[in-house]
Amino acid sequence: MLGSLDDGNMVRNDTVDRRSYLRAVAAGGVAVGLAGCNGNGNGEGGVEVAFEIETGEEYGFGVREGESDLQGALDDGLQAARQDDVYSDLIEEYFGNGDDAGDVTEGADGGTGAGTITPGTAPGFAPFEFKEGGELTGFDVELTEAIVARTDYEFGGFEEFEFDSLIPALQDGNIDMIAAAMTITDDRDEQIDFSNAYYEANQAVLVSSSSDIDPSGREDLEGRVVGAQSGTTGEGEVDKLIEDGIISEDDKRIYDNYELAVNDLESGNVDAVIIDVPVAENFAER
Amino acid sequence: MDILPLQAGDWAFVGTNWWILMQGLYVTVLLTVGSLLLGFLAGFPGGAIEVYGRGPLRSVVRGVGVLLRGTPIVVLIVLFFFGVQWPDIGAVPLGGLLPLPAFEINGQALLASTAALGLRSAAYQSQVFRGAIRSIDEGQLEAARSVGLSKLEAVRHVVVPQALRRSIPGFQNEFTIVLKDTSIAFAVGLAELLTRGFELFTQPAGQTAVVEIILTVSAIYFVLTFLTNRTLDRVENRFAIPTGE
Repeated sequence: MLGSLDDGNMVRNDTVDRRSYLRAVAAGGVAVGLAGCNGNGNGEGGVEVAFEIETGEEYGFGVREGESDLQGALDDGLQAARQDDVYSDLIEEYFGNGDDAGDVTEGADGGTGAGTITPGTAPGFAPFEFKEGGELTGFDVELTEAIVARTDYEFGGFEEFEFDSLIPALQDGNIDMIAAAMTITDDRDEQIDFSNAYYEANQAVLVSSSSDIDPSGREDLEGRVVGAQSGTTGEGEVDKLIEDGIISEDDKRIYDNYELAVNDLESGNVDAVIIDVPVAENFAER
Repeated sequence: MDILPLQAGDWAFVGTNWWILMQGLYVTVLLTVGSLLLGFLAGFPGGAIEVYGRGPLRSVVRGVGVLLRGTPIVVLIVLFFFGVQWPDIGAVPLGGLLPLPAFEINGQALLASTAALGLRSAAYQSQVFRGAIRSIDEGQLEAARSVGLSKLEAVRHVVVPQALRRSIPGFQNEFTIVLKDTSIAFAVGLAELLTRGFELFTQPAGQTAVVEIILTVSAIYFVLTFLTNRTLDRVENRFAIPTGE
């Protein structure tokens, strides 16, 4: 079950066996910590954004294929949330000065006649979705509540899944929409439908502040070990580096969660990690 | 080599959020007990059928056992969750007993995880019981028959009581495996112990506490496993088959 502990941070391509992979990584991390090797990701030295990659990537809400009513309602709800300044308040709360946006359903004029929708998300991706004091919160979570309150649908409460389980859960009817910082890609668009984009995020290349590596462009990553979270756009960017011959397949490290990737970056096991800009800035500031 | 720089502030973070881990522990224990119970209820008859059964029934039990034992548990859980239409029992409220704050978990995820872990465990437990039944000398069955017991009575009163005792060490092993494998319920979003730990270090305040949280979670699993194994050791000694020495 545990796969191999000794190559705990290796690339893993199947999407199902995530749990055992995390356990391998976690066990590896504990082993490294106990062995007393340098650092254990306690923020010593910290990380910084070396440069950004313009991907033009946009996040959208996912709905089942053909559910154009819901899709249209979400687009209108997003528009209404922007007009009510709830959208900009949430941007300030999660990416700006941190001021609480307050009650996001205030001033909403939606109904509940069109039925209940249950959104799904994958907590563990601050500031978009994470758990705090046992409660689910984050930019996507509050924005979803704000938007649904501005449609004719009733908000049915979030269900939580692993990121890779979200699309199956949507197709299977466990949830009615995905609000999980999900980038609109052609591959995903073949499986599900997306609302209009609600967030634009480029990718950031994070490096350790204490390392002597200071890349200023993709070419500077030549021969480096680069990591990302499984299934994210960051992983796509790592793949592009491989396609372009900048790094070799062996130098790709994929993690179950970006947190573990940054932990490994601080420990010096990878040279760079590619993640969304707002998330990267969150780390660079801590 | 540096000394492990675990930080006091991060341990304090674990300390203030201990109740979140306890909620996870609650679900882990619930899932373990439920799965083992289901595993026993299905696995014990399964083992008996593999030994005494005949014809298609035995073939079916064997076949299902091989399938369940030969499939990775994460695949089983995902399959049971997405592939089976569970009744929508909604959110299951748990806790609320002081000092554990009340919380809710996804009912369908609980059903699917219990079914997957329980049936997989049944497949393993059936082998534990099969081995234990086989370890009782055939002569005892013959002796029981010769004093007038029917075959069923002989199995029920002579073989089973001894086989159950001999299966304790194997069962102990199975308990440990099921307890640790409950962490795989993470895949379907069930808030068990490891999921809760994960929740803690992915929130902004806990981002530096990854190792501290994982060490704490490991320690909780270890304590649970250790205590239960010791208890089962005692049970085994207490109910050991008298040797007459």
